[in-house]
Amino acid sequence: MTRGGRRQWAVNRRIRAALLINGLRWRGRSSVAMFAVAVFACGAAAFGPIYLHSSDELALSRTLAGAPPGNAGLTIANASFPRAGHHSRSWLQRYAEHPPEPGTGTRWWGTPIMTLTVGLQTIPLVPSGPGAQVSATARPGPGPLGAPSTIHLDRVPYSPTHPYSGQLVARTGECGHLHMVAGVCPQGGSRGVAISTRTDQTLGIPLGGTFPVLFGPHQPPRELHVVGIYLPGNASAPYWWGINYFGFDAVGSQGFLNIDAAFTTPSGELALAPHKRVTVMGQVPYRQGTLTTGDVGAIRADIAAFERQSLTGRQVVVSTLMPALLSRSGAVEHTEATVVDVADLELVLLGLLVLYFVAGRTAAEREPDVRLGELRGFRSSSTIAVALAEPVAIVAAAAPAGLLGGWLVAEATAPAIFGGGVTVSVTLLSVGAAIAAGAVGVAAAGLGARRSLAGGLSAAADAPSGEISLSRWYLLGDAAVVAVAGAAFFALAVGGDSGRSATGSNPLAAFAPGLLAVALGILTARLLPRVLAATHRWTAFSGRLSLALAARTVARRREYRTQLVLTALAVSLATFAVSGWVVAARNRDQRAELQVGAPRVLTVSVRSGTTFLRDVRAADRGGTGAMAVVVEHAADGNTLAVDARALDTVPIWPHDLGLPAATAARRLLPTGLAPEIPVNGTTVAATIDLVGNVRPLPQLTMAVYDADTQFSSTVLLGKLTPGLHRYTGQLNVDCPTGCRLLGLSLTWTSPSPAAGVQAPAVTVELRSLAERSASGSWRTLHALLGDARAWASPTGGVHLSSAGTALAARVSFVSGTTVTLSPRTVPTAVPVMVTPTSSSQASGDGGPLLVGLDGSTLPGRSVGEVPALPGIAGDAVLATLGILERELTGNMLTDTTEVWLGKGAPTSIVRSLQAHGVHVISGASAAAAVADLARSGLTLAYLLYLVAAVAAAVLVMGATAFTLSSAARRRRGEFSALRAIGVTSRSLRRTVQFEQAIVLAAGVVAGVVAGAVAGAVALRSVPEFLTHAPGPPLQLGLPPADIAVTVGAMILALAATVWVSSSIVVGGAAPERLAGGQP
Amino acid sequence: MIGHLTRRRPAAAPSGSRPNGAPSRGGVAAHLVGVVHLYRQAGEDIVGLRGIDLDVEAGETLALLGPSGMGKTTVLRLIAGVMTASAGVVRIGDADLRRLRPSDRRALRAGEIGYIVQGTAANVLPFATTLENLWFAQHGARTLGRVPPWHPAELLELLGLLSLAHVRVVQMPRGVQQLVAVANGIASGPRLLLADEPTAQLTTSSAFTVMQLLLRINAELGTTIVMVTHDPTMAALFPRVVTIRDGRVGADALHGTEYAVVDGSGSVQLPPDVLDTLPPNTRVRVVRREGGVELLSPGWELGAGWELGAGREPRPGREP
Repeated sequence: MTRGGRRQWAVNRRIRAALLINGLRWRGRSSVAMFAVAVFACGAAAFGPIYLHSSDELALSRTLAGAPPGNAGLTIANASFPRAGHHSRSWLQRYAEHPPEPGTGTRWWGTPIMTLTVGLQTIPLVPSGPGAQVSATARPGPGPLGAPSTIHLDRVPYSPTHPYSGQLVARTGECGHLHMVAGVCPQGGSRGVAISTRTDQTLGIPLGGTFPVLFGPHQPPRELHVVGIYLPGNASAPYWWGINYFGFDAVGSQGFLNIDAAFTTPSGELALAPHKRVTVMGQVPYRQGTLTTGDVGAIRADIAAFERQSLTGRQVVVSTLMPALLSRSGAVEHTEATVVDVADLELVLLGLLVLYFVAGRTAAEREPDVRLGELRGFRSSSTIAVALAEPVAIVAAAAPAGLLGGWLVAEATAPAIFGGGVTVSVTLLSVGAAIAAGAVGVAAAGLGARRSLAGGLSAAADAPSGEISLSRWYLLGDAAVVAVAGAAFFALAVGGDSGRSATGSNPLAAFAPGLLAVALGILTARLLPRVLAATHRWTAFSGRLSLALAARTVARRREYRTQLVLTALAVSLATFAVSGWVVAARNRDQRAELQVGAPRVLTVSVRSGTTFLRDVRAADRGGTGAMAVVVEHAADGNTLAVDARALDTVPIWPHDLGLPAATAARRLLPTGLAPEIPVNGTTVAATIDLVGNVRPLPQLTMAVYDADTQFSSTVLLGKLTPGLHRYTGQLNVDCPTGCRLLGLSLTWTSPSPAAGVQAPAVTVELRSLAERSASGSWRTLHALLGDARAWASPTGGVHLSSAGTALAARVSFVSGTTVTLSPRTVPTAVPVMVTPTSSSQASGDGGPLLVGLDGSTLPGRSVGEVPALPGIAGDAVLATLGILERELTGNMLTDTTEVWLGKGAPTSIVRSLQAHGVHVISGASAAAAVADLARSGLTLAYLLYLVAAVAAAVLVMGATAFTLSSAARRRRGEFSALRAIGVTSRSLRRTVQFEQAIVLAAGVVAGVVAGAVAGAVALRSVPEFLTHAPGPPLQLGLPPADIAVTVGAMILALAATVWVSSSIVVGGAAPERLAGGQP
Repeated sequence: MIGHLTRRRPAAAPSGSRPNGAPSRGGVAAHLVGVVHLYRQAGEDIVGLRGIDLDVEAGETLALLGPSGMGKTTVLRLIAGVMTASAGVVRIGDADLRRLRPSDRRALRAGEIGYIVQGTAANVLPFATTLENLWFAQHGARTLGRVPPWHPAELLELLGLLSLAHVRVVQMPRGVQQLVAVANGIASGPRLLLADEPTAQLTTSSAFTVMQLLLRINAELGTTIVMVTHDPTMAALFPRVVTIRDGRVGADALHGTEYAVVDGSGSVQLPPDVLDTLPPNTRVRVVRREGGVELLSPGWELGAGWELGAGREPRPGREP
């Protein structure tokens, strides 16, 4: 290129740019409108991925933060853990100090915590008193560490005269997490220990004192020197990794009570305890918030490599639940991503449709330029450039602006939507989406502007005026769109099925309202002119000039069709979004509340020596505020034992469970049970008349259960001899607050070794039962012996009848078997409410099986089935706590004790519980669970759908205003002419308002119908409602009031837009403006 | 104010038949032979032109005069190649427009033909400056590989409009805007300039200025100019005025003398005032006279009559 050529090229470029800029400024209103819509479309496209990224990050961080302490971290131990010995300490520490890191400066893992642990058992300083025998069912034998049997004592807590089990722990950083109340936390090379205040009180060891412990069998006693006393910490704090070092008062595995751990230094631990018994463990905590969704792949691979490398290197086992947590988060993200994508895509498509619409309107303004170019002999490419330069420039500028806008909106709304701590990032995907939306926007703008190119000068000159040609192509196009939309909607409608299986979920169901709205909108737009044509006759000479003009205008002009479809689309999206949101919130709240069980749920510890049900009832005298609950988790099913008396008032019991709580409570309480027979003395007696002859004599025993210590005891009363005799025996359990009679047992063993030998039938008449204290007189037990119905024989082989005030039992002994007579304080089969899952586990007689509070299996009798039980997963049965407590013959070691508080619970209930020995460990509330779910990924996804609907409504309002505004210049001549023949501006304004009312009303009706039908059909396919968690039936009914309010608000907003815009449109019309030509 | 209009780069040769050739000095002839044009309307066709025969010689200035709706603009559009005639021949120089492809007709408008359509707004980019307008007007020629005969600034200088170079058209008075429209029309150096009502809606002063410019373009560049107007005063400024009535050439006036024209089918359109004497469906007898003919209606056979023409001289479009 020559120098002159280059100069000319530069000049041409400059003039082109000037023409472009001047043209954009000249058509400022249109340019701004198109730019705004294009920014909206590109911004929406960019916002989706940004939003998705943030919600994914939130899902990830919530999953990791919500995981139990330690699950996300790395636990490093020797392969022979836990008996690794302290020798592995140094290289375990090396592994713990070099976990896999991303290498980008960010550190996923925190400072490792090395823990040295050794079990111990205290040695009582003073032997216990008389009666210190091991009961028959109290698991006698050596202590947990095989200590000498001389220290095997019964369960009398809080006495320095008894042994306790515990741990000596040296844990990195422990002093930072122990709240010392006296002395110092052992540090450096100290060999002293810090014990808890509770241990201190129990053992009665002063600060600076010592106490002897055993670190294992055949180990010499060691003295622990107390240098500090700490306040027991919160075991659920992240530092402790869910390991409860403060398990004071819990029953140890061998029946000993635990004391809180004693803490020392590593050197102290190794100096005090035998090295071989010290276990070493490294714990590498995950640093919350450092992992992003982009790191997931890398950290998975790194952990896997670290695990392999550790195992093959030093036989070090690295265990972590991080990959499982990442998978769980990934599953949420996937569903969430689909819904967000659909919602965002619908919004983008709507934006593009509006862009097409606006481009079509603005094309008319650029048409003179195009015609001028044709007049000057421009080639086709140049003509196209004139037509499209401005739309392309606008959309091109809109893409980065949209990206920026999307980011700013996300940044501004992030704290409200996601809460603090979630970063908003412009991802590559969001940039790509903005660019893609821009590219599609250019195409949409080009399509919209095609009218200015079509035909050219000659066509413009020859074109018939004022006639809408019903293009066959348009008709075919509309038919195709309707067919595709209808088919897709049908596929969605039949493809998803809520509540049955996750495979039925179809996130694409969120497309349903859009598809249906487009189809209905097009059909309505096609039908509207014909409907309006039918009105011509009665509006022609009716004097309703405005209505007549409006009906004819709408029937003739094609531009209204697009506006109608847009309106239908926006209204449909809003209807669907509001329906989805309300329905989702309704079900989500219900599920969250049902999951928690009650407005407030306290997990409590019950001091040994208390009876849980009685104490909770005592704490809540009204009986409507608190409910005692025991949850027995077992491999073969869960049992939810509740105080049925409060079932109607305390727990959250949705109506949709199919059975009112009061009815359930009534059914759960069996009738005809005999009262419990309390035993308070130390000696018991039974007066029995044996009628008949049986040899050898059967053995008579009596069983009592101590609810305080949860141990049962059997008293040998002697051989049962013919005739009337009193049989006495001394109880080997202490019943300070009362035991209860379990029953009397008769065991007969034939001298013959043959099995199944049967003795002649005898009659055993139980005349009375009595007790007395050590130095007191005999007291008769109120045992209802004269009522045979109050007694039963769980073992069978007995016929019971009343004999005056005595109980007569006709017994046929079989050798080696025991015949038991028990007061009928428990039903033969425990009445239970079952769930569909639990009911599948049936006992032999068809009734459900349930696990008792002591782990024993009990026969149950189903009194009803509900879809789910409050506070527990579906695999459970609901029973009365009072009955199950009566069924107890062992302890409740594995049970979770909770107190559920209803809405009417007094504020002082916690104090009151505490006063009755029920200590609150932690709490949960239904409101918190609902709030927590409100931040879940799917909720956030549907929130975007709601936002999209609002944005769509705003967009349609803008499109309506723009339609009127862009028509103003074009229709100025028409209105001026009408003004010239005497039509008032008020009539013209009303004409415009009628036009818009007709179009918008048709669009709103089509949109509401589309949105409601889509909601009714497709909501059941939305993944939010598909969950494996059992619960009451989903409430998928549409919320008419919410829909009405939403649509009403949209109509008001549109009406206001029309009202304001119509004044502007008509305001410029005047007869004197009929002369045109001025540019 | 008015300088000599000389092209920066003289064209190689007249190229009415070579639309892609470079613009040339002088004008180009336009001929319409038996041109009929129908406007297609829904339900019926409307006859725009009923058989026009018109010869416009190269370098001639011609005003097409007549009331609205008579077909003047249609004639102009056919000559510009914006529309194609339903029947008949439209020839620009040697080029038969009916035989040209649309792209060739566009190329003609990019170089050979300048067309100023009715209404100022349709001829200018209102948001652009005068210079930018001229650049835009020349763009068609440039895209065809032609070098416009003058730089926009040069043309403005020649037209005495240089002071308006950087003024946006929308900021100008209407008369000045029309000057810019005319400048746009000749920006690419056409040899045939078509102007449709260039003085409409202008003040008399502005109208005369525009007419003065057109005449100067013709005088100095030799550009053939065909102007449509319904204003006899403006038409009278051109030596030749053709009146179009009812889609036909009604009269052809040369230097103030109006002649009826016999078209190719032998029809002749009587002047409107004669129609009072010879209303439609009047039977006339054509009587040959020396040097002409007489039309005699039955009531006039005693000697009264109307001299229709006086032979073939002088021919319209020629200098007397």
